[in-house]
Amino acid sequence: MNLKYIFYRLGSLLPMLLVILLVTFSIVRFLPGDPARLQLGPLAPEEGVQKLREEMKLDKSLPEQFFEYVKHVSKGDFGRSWVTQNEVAKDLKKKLPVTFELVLLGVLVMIIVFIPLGCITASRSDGFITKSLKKATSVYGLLAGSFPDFWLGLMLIYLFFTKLSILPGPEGILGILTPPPQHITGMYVLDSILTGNWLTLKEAILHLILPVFTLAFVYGAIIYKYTWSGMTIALRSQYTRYAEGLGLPKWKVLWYAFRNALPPVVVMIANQISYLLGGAVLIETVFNIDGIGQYAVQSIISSDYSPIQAFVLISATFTMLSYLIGDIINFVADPRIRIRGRND
Amino acid sequence: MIKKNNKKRSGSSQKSKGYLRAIRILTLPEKIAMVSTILIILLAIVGPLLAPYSAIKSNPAQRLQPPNGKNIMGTDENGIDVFSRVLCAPRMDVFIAISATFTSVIIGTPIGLLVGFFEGGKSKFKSFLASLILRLCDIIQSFPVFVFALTLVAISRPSAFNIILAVAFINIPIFVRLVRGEVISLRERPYADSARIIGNSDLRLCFKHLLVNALSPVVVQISVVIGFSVLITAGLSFVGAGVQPPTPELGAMISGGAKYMILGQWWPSFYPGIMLCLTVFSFATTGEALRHLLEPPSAAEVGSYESHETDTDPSKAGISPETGIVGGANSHMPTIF
Repeated sequence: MNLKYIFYRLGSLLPMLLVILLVTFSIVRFLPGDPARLQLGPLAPEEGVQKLREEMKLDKSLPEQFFEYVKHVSKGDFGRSWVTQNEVAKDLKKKLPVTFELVLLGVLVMIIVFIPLGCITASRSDGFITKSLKKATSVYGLLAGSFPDFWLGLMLIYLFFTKLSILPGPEGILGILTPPPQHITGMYVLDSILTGNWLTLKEAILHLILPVFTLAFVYGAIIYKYTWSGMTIALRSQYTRYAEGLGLPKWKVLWYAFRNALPPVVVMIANQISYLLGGAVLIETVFNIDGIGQYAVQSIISSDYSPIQAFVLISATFTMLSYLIGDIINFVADPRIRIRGRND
Repeated sequence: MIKKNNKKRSGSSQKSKGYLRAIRILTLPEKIAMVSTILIILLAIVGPLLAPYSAIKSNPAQRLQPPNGKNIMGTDENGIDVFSRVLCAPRMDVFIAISATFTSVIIGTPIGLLVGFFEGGKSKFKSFLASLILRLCDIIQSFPVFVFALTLVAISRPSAFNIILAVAFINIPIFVRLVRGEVISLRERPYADSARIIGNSDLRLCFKHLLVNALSPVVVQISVVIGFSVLITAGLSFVGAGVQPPTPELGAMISGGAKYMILGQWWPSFYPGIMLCLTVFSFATTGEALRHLLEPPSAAEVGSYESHETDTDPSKAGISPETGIVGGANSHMPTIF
């Protein structure tokens, strides 16, 4: 049954993906001017543009052009950046893992910090720690959503690099003098662990502390609120009272409540991943991290359309996949959803 | 604090009315936010008149002066008084955010109204159109908001008008979904049936009777979305795809000061950031405050799982949107919910 649902959801991805492709396809088509010229930039020689025109089948009808575009993208061909003269696919291979790592670590920190925090502050215990945590988090919940992430990042750089000089400044993921680890996945932290390169690992982690903290702090607020409100409802429900009345151990009662509070939190985390991608664009600019976010910003400023198309396509696909994973986790973890899903 | 606030809120009697009720049920942060929202809107109107110096004219001799008696927030890299710029800058952000939000309300509300009314209705064709529009909203929202806005502004050139269009475009689905959700329940109410029976046409029923009743969540959301749009506008300008210097704008000011930050000159970025935080916080929290004011007091009890324990209303207080995320959040509930 689970498999069937997963296949059904995977199947529904395809039409969505096609529409997303249609949008990225239209980005260049709806601009005034010749799409081939736009893609190759103002400096390209006329013969090259003519060649691309033929390749893009610009003399054929729009559906045929779209088909051609899909064919290229499915082969991993995103065109060429006219500014750097690199193939976009090649650039992406280098930059995508960096952003992926940043977003992944941000989500991990959000999950590790804010879900337990939401559980603790929702509990009814009145100990000193819980009380002070409650005070701190209520201020946090009120303000965190209003912080511009890019500004917070700058302030942290000022505080920890310029003033205290305990953390590295905005120089990317590794300092200039640190050799990058052997390329396996392209994610510096993971690669250094895999190759046992502890010096690089330490460098990479030190460089990632501030950007990851900024992302988690700004985008974790909503995770915290969802966990808190879900747990508050669950802990005051009849079944919690019943469980407490039966004398079940505290952790078990908490676990039952947690399972009930979890589904909306999972959906929210999946949702936040798409915001994190947007955040990564800004954070990478602030911390000078060479990921796809900074790549996109540079391409946008220089009207470099091939990378923009690729970036929009990738971020939309990534968002869709994160929703899918969220849905599947919920489907597997929550029997209520499973049963409802079966009836549909 | 949240708990205490809720207690205070539930203590309000259902009979109290008007501003007295407002004073009683609003929490302190909400009151502060409402006052500061009004001040920020005023500042957006008269800001340049209050500025002690010119906000555009550069003065290289005065470059990057730290805060002092003459320039209380120092001067930026062009020698312009930061305080003057901070006073002038909200005008651009607030103007863009308000225009964009109202554009999306004007477009999104009628669409949401019709979608909610015709969805799953008798007319196969209209029902199909309605679900088509909803799927379109899905697609717009499947693009990361900021990324999408950035792309939209980039492919049409960065100008205030294009930023307004881009931000309005990404916000339309929020209002479509919001109104649609309301109308789906409203159309089943007895008064809707009565209006239909006495001979109102579908459209008349929608726009005359259902619309007014569906508006209160929209009013709440407007303020939240304005706050969120300010954030996006500033973010766009920060990466250089928004308002261009020398026009005073908060994101561009932060961006301009960014490179001096590591050198220890913090003031050109710090103060506009504070102003930006304050603006976003004020609008978002005002939305919260309006929600509490517009909701009938009894709704709090209904929303809670246990009617006798009204001091907890986490479903309202907790999930409440701070950044306008709620539109996205609700819309991305899995299909089987």
